Amino acid sequence: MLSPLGRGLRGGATAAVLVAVLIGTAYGDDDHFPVGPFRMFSTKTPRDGAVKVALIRGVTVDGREVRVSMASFGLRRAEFEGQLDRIAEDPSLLGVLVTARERARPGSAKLREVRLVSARWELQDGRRVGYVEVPVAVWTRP
Amino acid sequence: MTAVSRWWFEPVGRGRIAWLRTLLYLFVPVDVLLTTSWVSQHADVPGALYQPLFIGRLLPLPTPTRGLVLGLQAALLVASVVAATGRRPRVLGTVVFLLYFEWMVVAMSYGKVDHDRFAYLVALAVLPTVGRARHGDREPDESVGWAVRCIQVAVVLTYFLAAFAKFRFGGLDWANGATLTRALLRRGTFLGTPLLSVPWLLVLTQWGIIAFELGSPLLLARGRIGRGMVAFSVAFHLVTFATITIIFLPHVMCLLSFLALENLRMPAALRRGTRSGQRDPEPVGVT
Repeated sequence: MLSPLGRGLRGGATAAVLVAVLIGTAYGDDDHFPVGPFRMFSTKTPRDGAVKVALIRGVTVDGREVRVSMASFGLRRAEFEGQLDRIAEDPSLLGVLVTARERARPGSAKLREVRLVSARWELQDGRRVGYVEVPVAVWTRP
Repeated sequence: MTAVSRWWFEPVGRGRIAWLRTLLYLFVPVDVLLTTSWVSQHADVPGALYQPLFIGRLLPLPTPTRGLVLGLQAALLVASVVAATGRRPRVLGTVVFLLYFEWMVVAMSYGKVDHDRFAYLVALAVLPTVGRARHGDREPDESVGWAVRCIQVAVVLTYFLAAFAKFRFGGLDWANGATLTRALLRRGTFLGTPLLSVPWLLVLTQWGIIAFELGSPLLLARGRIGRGMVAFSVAFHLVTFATITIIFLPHVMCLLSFLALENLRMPAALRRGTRSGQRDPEPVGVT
Protein backbone atom coordinates (compact mmCIF):
# COMPACT_ATOMS: atom_id res chain seq x y z
CA MET A 1 0.00 0.00 0.00
CA LEU A 2 1.21 3.49 -0.78
CA SER A 3 1.45 5.97 2.07
CA PRO A 4 -0.78 9.05 1.87
CA LEU A 5 2.33 11.10 1.10
CA GLY A 6 3.41 8.75 -1.71
CA ARG A 7 -0.07 8.87 -3.13
CA GLY A 8 -0.24 12.66 -2.83
CA LEU A 9 3.10 13.23 -4.55
CA ARG A 10 2.17 10.92 -7.40
CA GLY A 11 -1.23 12.53 -7.77
CA GLY A 12 0.32 16.00 -7.82
CA ALA A 13 2.91 15.02 -10.44
CA THR A 14 0.21 13.41 -12.59
CA ALA A 15 -1.96 16.52 -12.44
CA ALA A 16 0.97 18.82 -13.22
CA VAL A 17 2.00 16.87 -16.34
CA LEU A 18 -1.60 16.55 -17.53
CA VAL A 19 -2.17 20.29 -17.18
CA ALA A 20 1.14 21.07 -18.93
CA VAL A 21 0.38 18.84 -21.90
CA LEU A 22 -3.19 20.13 -22.22
CA ILE A 23 -1.98 23.76 -22.18
CA GLY A 24 0.73 22.75 -24.66
CA THR A 25 -1.86 21.28 -27.02
CA ALA A 26 -4.13 24.30 -26.78
CA TYR A 27 -1.62 27.17 -26.80
CA GLY A 28 1.92 25.81 -27.17
CA ASP A 29 4.08 24.81 -30.09
CA ASP A 30 7.09 22.58 -30.85
CA ASP A 31 9.23 24.95 -28.79
CA HIS A 32 7.57 23.55 -25.65
CA PHE A 33 8.87 20.00 -26.14
CA PRO A 34 8.13 17.58 -24.54
CA VAL A 35 4.70 19.01 -23.63
CA GLY A 36 4.03 20.86 -26.89
CA PRO A 37 1.16 19.86 -29.18
CA PHE A 38 1.43 16.45 -30.90
CA ARG A 39 1.48 18.10 -34.29
CA MET A 40 2.86 15.32 -36.46
CA PHE A 41 1.39 15.91 -39.94
CA SER A 42 -1.03 18.40 -38.42
CA THR A 43 -0.81 21.05 -41.13
CA LYS A 44 -3.24 20.65 -43.99
CA THR A 45 -1.82 20.52 -47.48
CA PRO A 46 -4.55 21.87 -49.80
CA ARG A 47 -5.47 19.43 -52.58
CA ASP A 48 -4.77 22.26 -55.05
CA GLY A 49 -1.68 23.45 -53.24
CA ALA A 50 1.97 22.49 -53.41
CA VAL A 51 4.31 20.08 -51.64
CA LYS A 52 7.74 21.47 -50.83
CA VAL A 53 10.94 19.64 -50.07
CA ALA A 54 14.36 21.13 -49.38
CA LEU A 55 17.50 19.78 -51.00
CA ILE A 56 21.10 20.79 -51.39
CA ARG A 57 23.05 20.98 -54.64
CA GLY A 58 26.69 21.82 -54.86
CA VAL A 59 29.62 22.38 -57.20
CA THR A 60 32.91 20.73 -56.28
CA VAL A 61 36.20 22.65 -56.53
CA ASP A 62 36.92 20.75 -59.76
CA GLY A 63 33.63 21.95 -61.26
CA ARG A 64 31.35 18.91 -60.91
CA GLU A 65 27.61 19.43 -60.15
CA VAL A 66 26.62 17.18 -57.26
CA ARG A 67 23.63 16.57 -55.04
CA VAL A 68 24.92 16.89 -51.48
CA SER A 69 23.35 14.76 -48.75
CA MET A 70 22.00 16.78 -45.85
CA ALA A 71 23.19 14.12 -43.41
CA SER A 72 26.78 14.94 -44.41
CA PHE A 73 26.23 18.26 -42.61
CA GLY A 74 25.01 16.39 -39.51
CA LEU A 75 21.43 17.61 -39.99
CA ARG A 76 18.19 15.98 -41.10
CA ARG A 77 16.20 17.36 -44.03
CA ALA A 78 13.44 18.52 -41.70
CA GLU A 79 16.02 20.41 -39.66
CA PHE A 80 17.19 22.32 -42.74
CA GLU A 81 13.53 23.00 -43.53
CA GLY A 82 12.92 24.20 -39.98
CA GLN A 83 15.73 26.77 -40.36
CA LEU A 84 15.10 27.65 -44.02
CA ASP A 85 14.17 31.28 -43.30
CA ARG A 86 17.21 31.79 -41.11
CA ILE A 87 19.56 30.41 -43.76
CA ALA A 88 17.85 32.43 -46.51
CA GLU A 89 18.44 35.56 -44.45
CA ASP A 90 22.05 34.67 -43.67
CA PRO A 91 23.52 32.36 -46.36
CA SER A 92 26.91 32.51 -44.58
CA LEU A 93 25.43 29.81 -42.30
CA LEU A 94 25.90 27.46 -45.27
CA GLY A 95 29.59 28.35 -45.20
CA VAL A 96 29.77 27.58 -41.46
CA LEU A 97 28.20 24.19 -42.21
CA VAL A 98 30.64 23.50 -45.06
CA THR A 99 33.59 24.21 -42.76
CA ALA A 100 32.20 21.87 -40.09
CA ARG A 101 31.54 19.20 -42.73
CA GLU A 102 35.12 19.34 -43.95
CA ARG A 103 36.37 18.99 -40.37
CA ALA A 104 34.08 16.06 -39.54
CA ARG A 105 34.45 14.30 -42.91
CA PRO A 106 37.88 15.08 -44.33
CA GLY A 107 37.36 12.54 -47.14
CA SER A 108 34.25 14.20 -48.60
CA ALA A 109 34.36 16.13 -51.88
CA LYS A 110 35.48 19.74 -51.38
CA LEU A 111 32.75 22.17 -52.43
CA ARG A 112 33.14 25.49 -54.26
CA GLU A 113 29.48 26.38 -54.17
CA VAL A 114 26.49 25.18 -52.13
CA ARG A 115 22.86 25.91 -53.02
CA LEU A 116 19.94 25.28 -50.67
CA VAL A 117 16.95 24.67 -52.91
CA SER A 118 13.23 24.35 -52.27
CA ALA A 119 11.67 21.88 -54.69
CA ARG A 120 7.89 22.16 -55.25
CA TRP A 121 5.40 19.72 -56.65
CA GLU A 122 2.22 21.52 -57.74
CA LEU A 123 -0.98 19.63 -56.97
CA GLN A 124 -4.35 19.65 -58.68
CA ASP A 125 -7.09 17.83 -56.79
CA GLY A 126 -4.45 15.84 -54.95
CA ARG A 127 -2.46 14.82 -58.04
CA ARG A 128 1.00 15.96 -59.08
CA VAL A 129 0.88 18.27 -62.10
CA GLY A 130 4.17 20.18 -62.05
CA TYR A 131 7.63 20.45 -60.51
CA VAL A 132 9.86 23.49 -59.98
CA GLU A 133 12.98 24.21 -57.96
CA VAL A 134 13.31 27.57 -56.20
CA PRO A 135 16.70 28.68 -54.85
CA VAL A 136 16.67 29.62 -51.14
CA ALA A 137 20.30 30.47 -50.40
CA VAL A 138 23.64 30.27 -52.19
CA TRP A 139 27.10 30.21 -50.66
CA THR A 140 30.28 30.52 -52.74
CA ARG A 141 33.74 29.78 -51.40
CA PRO A 142 35.50 33.15 -50.94
CA MET B 1 -11.18 6.60 -2.13
CA THR B 2 -12.71 8.14 -5.20
CA ALA B 3 -13.18 6.22 -8.42
CA VAL B 4 -10.60 8.42 -10.17
CA SER B 5 -7.96 7.69 -7.55
CA ARG B 6 -8.82 3.95 -7.58
CA TRP B 7 -8.34 3.92 -11.34
CA TRP B 8 -4.94 5.64 -11.24
CA PHE B 9 -3.65 3.42 -8.42
CA GLU B 10 -5.22 0.12 -9.44
CA PRO B 11 -2.66 -2.50 -8.29
CA VAL B 12 -0.64 -4.32 -10.96
CA GLY B 13 1.78 -7.25 -10.49
CA ARG B 14 5.32 -6.09 -9.73
CA GLY B 15 6.73 -8.28 -12.49
CA ARG B 16 5.34 -5.87 -15.09
CA ILE B 17 7.73 -3.14 -13.94
CA ALA B 18 10.64 -5.61 -13.94
CA TRP B 19 9.96 -6.41 -17.61
CA LEU B 20 9.36 -2.80 -18.58
CA ARG B 21 12.71 -1.92 -17.02
CA THR B 22 14.50 -4.64 -18.97
CA LEU B 23 12.83 -3.78 -22.27
CA LEU B 24 12.65 0.01 -22.09
CA TYR B 25 16.19 0.45 -20.75
CA LEU B 26 17.62 -1.97 -23.33
CA PHE B 27 15.82 0.07 -25.98
CA VAL B 28 18.02 3.07 -25.14
CA PRO B 29 21.12 1.64 -26.92
CA VAL B 30 18.94 0.58 -29.85
CA ASP B 31 17.54 4.09 -30.11
CA VAL B 32 20.87 5.86 -29.63
CA LEU B 33 22.98 3.66 -31.92
CA LEU B 34 20.55 2.39 -34.55
CA THR B 35 17.08 3.80 -34.95
CA THR B 36 17.74 7.45 -34.01
CA SER B 37 21.49 7.55 -34.62
CA TRP B 38 21.19 10.97 -36.29
CA VAL B 39 21.14 12.59 -32.84
CA SER B 40 24.86 11.92 -32.38
CA GLN B 41 25.50 13.60 -35.75
CA HIS B 42 24.63 16.87 -34.04
CA ALA B 43 28.08 16.59 -32.42
CA ASP B 44 29.55 17.98 -35.66
CA VAL B 45 26.97 20.74 -36.23
CA PRO B 46 28.21 24.28 -35.49
CA GLY B 47 26.64 25.99 -32.48
CA ALA B 48 25.26 28.69 -34.82
CA LEU B 49 22.63 26.19 -35.98
CA TYR B 50 21.52 25.37 -32.41
CA GLN B 51 17.99 26.66 -31.80
CA PRO B 52 17.39 26.14 -28.07
CA LEU B 53 13.94 24.96 -27.03
CA PHE B 54 11.93 26.67 -24.28
CA ILE B 55 13.28 24.15 -21.74
CA GLY B 56 16.85 24.76 -22.92
CA ARG B 57 16.45 28.53 -22.47
CA LEU B 58 14.66 28.19 -19.13
CA LEU B 59 17.18 25.95 -17.34
CA PRO B 60 19.48 27.18 -19.19
CA LEU B 61 21.10 24.19 -20.88
CA PRO B 62 24.47 24.57 -22.65
CA THR B 63 24.89 24.80 -26.43
CA PRO B 64 25.92 21.25 -27.42
CA THR B 65 29.57 20.77 -28.32
CA ARG B 66 31.25 17.69 -29.73
CA GLY B 67 32.52 16.72 -26.26
CA LEU B 68 29.12 17.19 -24.66
CA VAL B 69 27.25 15.13 -27.25
CA LEU B 70 29.72 12.23 -27.30
CA GLY B 71 30.17 12.23 -23.51
CA LEU B 72 26.43 12.28 -23.01
CA GLN B 73 26.05 9.42 -25.46
CA ALA B 74 28.63 7.26 -23.66
CA ALA B 75 27.16 7.96 -20.22
CA LEU B 76 23.64 7.21 -21.45
CA LEU B 77 24.69 3.89 -23.01
CA VAL B 78 26.46 2.68 -19.86
CA ALA B 79 23.74 3.85 -17.47
CA SER B 80 20.90 2.31 -19.50
CA VAL B 81 22.54 -1.10 -19.86
CA VAL B 82 23.29 -1.28 -16.13
CA ALA B 83 19.77 -0.04 -15.31
CA ALA B 84 18.32 -2.82 -17.50
CA THR B 85 19.68 -5.38 -15.02
CA GLY B 86 17.28 -3.99 -12.41
CA ARG B 87 20.05 -3.05 -9.96
CA ARG B 88 19.64 0.15 -7.92
CA PRO B 89 16.43 0.94 -9.81
CA ARG B 90 15.70 4.30 -8.19
CA VAL B 91 19.16 5.83 -8.55
CA LEU B 92 20.06 4.40 -11.95
CA GLY B 93 16.57 4.97 -13.30
CA THR B 94 16.74 8.63 -12.36
CA VAL B 95 20.18 8.94 -13.97
CA VAL B 96 18.92 7.37 -17.20
CA PHE B 97 15.90 9.69 -17.26
CA LEU B 98 18.00 12.83 -16.82
CA LEU B 99 20.61 11.78 -19.39
CA TYR B 100 17.96 10.78 -21.92
CA PHE B 101 16.08 14.02 -21.39
CA GLU B 102 19.22 16.04 -22.20
CA TRP B 103 19.82 13.70 -25.17
CA MET B 104 16.38 14.67 -26.43
CA VAL B 105 17.19 18.36 -26.01
CA VAL B 106 20.25 17.78 -28.22
CA ALA B 107 18.02 15.92 -30.68
CA MET B 108 15.19 18.44 -30.99
CA SER B 109 17.05 21.78 -30.87
CA TYR B 110 18.14 22.08 -34.51
CA GLY B 111 14.94 23.10 -36.25
CA LYS B 112 12.78 19.96 -36.04
CA VAL B 113 10.92 18.46 -33.10
CA ASP B 114 9.66 14.87 -33.19
CA HIS B 115 6.48 13.80 -31.45
CA ASP B 116 7.16 10.14 -30.69
CA ARG B 117 8.90 10.67 -27.33
CA PHE B 118 6.26 11.78 -24.83
CA ALA B 119 5.18 8.34 -23.59
CA TYR B 120 8.78 7.10 -23.51
CA LEU B 121 9.91 10.09 -21.46
CA VAL B 122 7.00 9.55 -19.08
CA ALA B 123 8.00 5.88 -18.80
CA LEU B 124 11.62 6.74 -18.00
CA ALA B 125 10.36 9.26 -15.42
CA VAL B 126 8.05 6.82 -13.60
CA LEU B 127 10.16 3.62 -13.71
CA PRO B 128 12.40 4.84 -10.84
CA THR B 129 9.37 5.47 -8.59
CA VAL B 130 9.04 1.73 -7.95
CA GLY B 131 11.54 -0.20 -5.79
CA ARG B 132 13.19 -3.49 -6.76
CA ALA B 133 10.99 -5.81 -8.80
CA ARG B 134 11.47 -9.39 -10.00
CA HIS B 135 10.36 -10.86 -13.33
CA GLY B 136 7.37 -13.13 -12.88
CA ASP B 137 6.29 -11.51 -9.59
CA ARG B 138 2.50 -11.32 -9.70
CA GLU B 139 2.13 -9.63 -6.31
CA PRO B 140 -0.19 -6.66 -6.99
CA ASP B 141 1.22 -3.27 -6.02
CA GLU B 142 -0.26 0.21 -6.13
CA SER B 143 3.05 1.94 -6.94
CA VAL B 144 3.40 -0.34 -9.97
CA GLY B 145 -0.21 0.32 -10.90
CA TRP B 146 0.33 4.08 -10.92
CA ALA B 147 3.55 3.87 -12.96
CA VAL B 148 1.94 1.58 -15.55
CA ARG B 149 -1.16 3.80 -15.74
CA CYS B 150 0.99 6.87 -16.37
CA ILE B 151 2.71 5.19 -19.33
CA GLN B 152 -0.62 4.00 -20.72
CA VAL B 153 -2.25 7.41 -20.41
CA ALA B 154 0.78 9.03 -22.07
CA VAL B 155 0.40 6.65 -25.01
CA VAL B 156 -3.31 7.47 -25.32
CA LEU B 157 -2.68 11.23 -25.08
CA THR B 158 -0.11 11.04 -27.88
CA TYR B 159 -2.85 9.82 -30.21
CA PHE B 160 -5.86 11.60 -28.74
CA LEU B 161 -4.30 15.07 -28.51
CA ALA B 162 -2.79 14.64 -31.99
CA ALA B 163 -6.34 14.85 -33.37
CA PHE B 164 -6.78 18.21 -31.65
CA ALA B 165 -3.43 19.43 -32.95
CA LYS B 166 -4.72 18.64 -36.47
CA PHE B 167 -7.91 20.61 -35.81
CA ARG B 168 -5.88 23.50 -34.40
CA PHE B 169 -3.16 23.72 -37.05
CA GLY B 170 -4.83 22.13 -40.07
CA GLY B 171 -8.45 23.08 -39.42
CA LEU B 172 -11.51 20.98 -38.68
CA ASP B 173 -11.44 19.73 -42.27
CA TRP B 174 -7.81 18.55 -42.03
CA ALA B 175 -8.89 15.12 -43.24
CA ASN B 176 -10.10 16.54 -46.58
CA GLY B 177 -6.64 17.84 -47.45
CA ALA B 178 -3.65 16.26 -49.18
CA THR B 179 -1.43 15.74 -46.16
CA LEU B 180 -0.77 12.07 -46.96
CA THR B 181 -0.01 13.03 -50.56
CA ARG B 182 2.59 15.39 -49.16
CA ALA B 183 4.01 12.65 -46.92
CA LEU B 184 4.18 10.17 -49.82
CA LEU B 185 5.80 12.67 -52.20
CA ARG B 186 8.41 13.51 -49.62
CA ARG B 187 9.16 10.06 -48.28
CA GLY B 188 7.08 7.42 -50.01
CA THR B 189 8.47 3.88 -50.34
CA PHE B 190 7.89 1.47 -53.24
CA LEU B 191 4.82 0.32 -51.31
CA GLY B 192 3.57 3.83 -50.58
CA THR B 193 4.29 5.75 -53.80
CA PRO B 194 1.70 3.89 -55.97
CA LEU B 195 -1.00 5.22 -53.61
CA LEU B 196 -0.37 8.72 -55.02
CA SER B 197 -2.55 7.81 -57.98
CA VAL B 198 -5.54 7.07 -55.72
CA PRO B 199 -6.16 10.43 -53.95
CA TRP B 200 -9.62 9.44 -52.66
CA LEU B 201 -8.10 6.51 -50.76
CA LEU B 202 -5.67 8.88 -49.09
CA VAL B 203 -8.51 11.18 -48.01
CA LEU B 204 -10.37 8.17 -46.64
CA THR B 205 -7.24 7.12 -44.73
CA GLN B 206 -6.99 10.63 -43.28
CA TRP B 207 -10.53 10.27 -41.93
CA GLY B 208 -9.51 6.87 -40.55
CA ILE B 209 -6.53 8.42 -38.78
CA ILE B 210 -8.76 11.03 -37.09
CA ALA B 211 -11.20 8.30 -36.04
CA PHE B 212 -8.39 6.15 -34.65
CA GLU B 213 -6.88 9.06 -32.73
CA LEU B 214 -10.21 10.10 -31.23
CA GLY B 215 -10.97 6.44 -30.40
CA SER B 216 -7.60 5.86 -28.75
CA PRO B 217 -8.95 5.99 -25.14
CA LEU B 218 -10.36 2.53 -25.97
CA LEU B 219 -6.79 1.31 -25.46
CA LEU B 220 -7.58 1.61 -21.76
CA ALA B 221 -10.66 -0.63 -22.02
CA ARG B 222 -10.48 -4.07 -20.46
CA GLY B 223 -10.65 -7.34 -22.36
CA ARG B 224 -11.09 -7.74 -26.08
CA ILE B 225 -11.63 -4.11 -26.99
CA GLY B 226 -8.43 -2.97 -25.27
CA ARG B 227 -6.39 -5.84 -26.72
CA GLY B 228 -7.83 -5.22 -30.17
CA MET B 229 -6.88 -1.54 -29.98
CA VAL B 230 -3.30 -2.40 -28.96
CA ALA B 231 -3.02 -4.76 -31.95
CA PHE B 232 -4.54 -2.14 -34.27
CA SER B 233 -2.10 0.50 -33.01
CA VAL B 234 0.88 -1.74 -33.75
CA ALA B 235 -0.53 -2.45 -37.22
CA PHE B 236 -1.03 1.29 -37.81
CA HIS B 237 2.63 1.98 -37.03
CA LEU B 238 3.83 -0.89 -39.23
CA VAL B 239 1.78 0.31 -42.21
CA THR B 240 3.06 3.85 -41.68
CA PHE B 241 6.61 2.53 -41.70
CA ALA B 242 6.06 0.43 -44.82
CA THR B 243 4.62 3.36 -46.77
CA ILE B 244 6.49 6.46 -45.57
CA THR B 245 9.35 5.03 -43.40
CA ILE B 246 8.16 6.81 -40.29
CA ILE B 247 7.82 4.76 -37.13
CA PHE B 248 7.21 6.06 -33.61
CA LEU B 249 9.46 3.38 -32.15
CA PRO B 250 9.91 4.74 -28.60
CA HIS B 251 6.15 5.21 -28.45
CA VAL B 252 5.53 1.69 -29.81
CA MET B 253 7.79 0.31 -27.04
CA CYS B 254 5.45 1.93 -24.53
CA LEU B 255 2.52 -0.06 -25.93
CA LEU B 256 4.15 -2.95 -24.01
CA SER B 257 2.76 -1.38 -20.82
CA PHE B 258 -0.70 -2.62 -21.87
CA LEU B 259 0.41 -6.27 -21.81
CA ALA B 260 0.20 -8.50 -18.71
CA LEU B 261 3.97 -8.88 -18.61
CA GLU B 262 3.84 -9.87 -14.92
CA ASN B 263 2.77 -13.34 -16.06
CA LEU B 264 6.06 -13.83 -17.92
CA ARG B 265 9.01 -15.40 -16.16
CA MET B 266 12.59 -14.66 -17.12
CA PRO B 267 13.93 -17.71 -19.03
CA ALA B 268 16.05 -19.84 -16.65
CA ALA B 269 19.16 -19.54 -18.79
CA LEU B 270 19.09 -15.76 -18.50
CA ARG B 271 18.04 -15.76 -14.85
CA ARG B 272 21.19 -17.66 -13.86
CA GLY B 273 23.36 -14.93 -15.32
CA THR B 274 26.26 -15.63 -17.63
CA ARG B 275 28.95 -15.57 -14.94
CA SER B 276 27.62 -18.64 -13.15
CA GLY B 277 27.28 -20.59 -16.40
CA GLN B 278 30.27 -22.90 -15.91
CA ARG B 279 29.50 -23.75 -12.30
CA ASP B 280 25.84 -24.29 -13.04
CA PRO B 281 24.97 -27.96 -12.53
CA GLU B 282 21.70 -27.63 -14.44
CA PRO B 283 21.59 -27.80 -18.22
CA VAL B 284 21.74 -24.32 -19.71
CA GLY B 285 19.49 -23.10 -22.46
CA VAL B 286 16.49 -25.40 -21.92
CA THR B 287 13.63 -23.09 -21.17
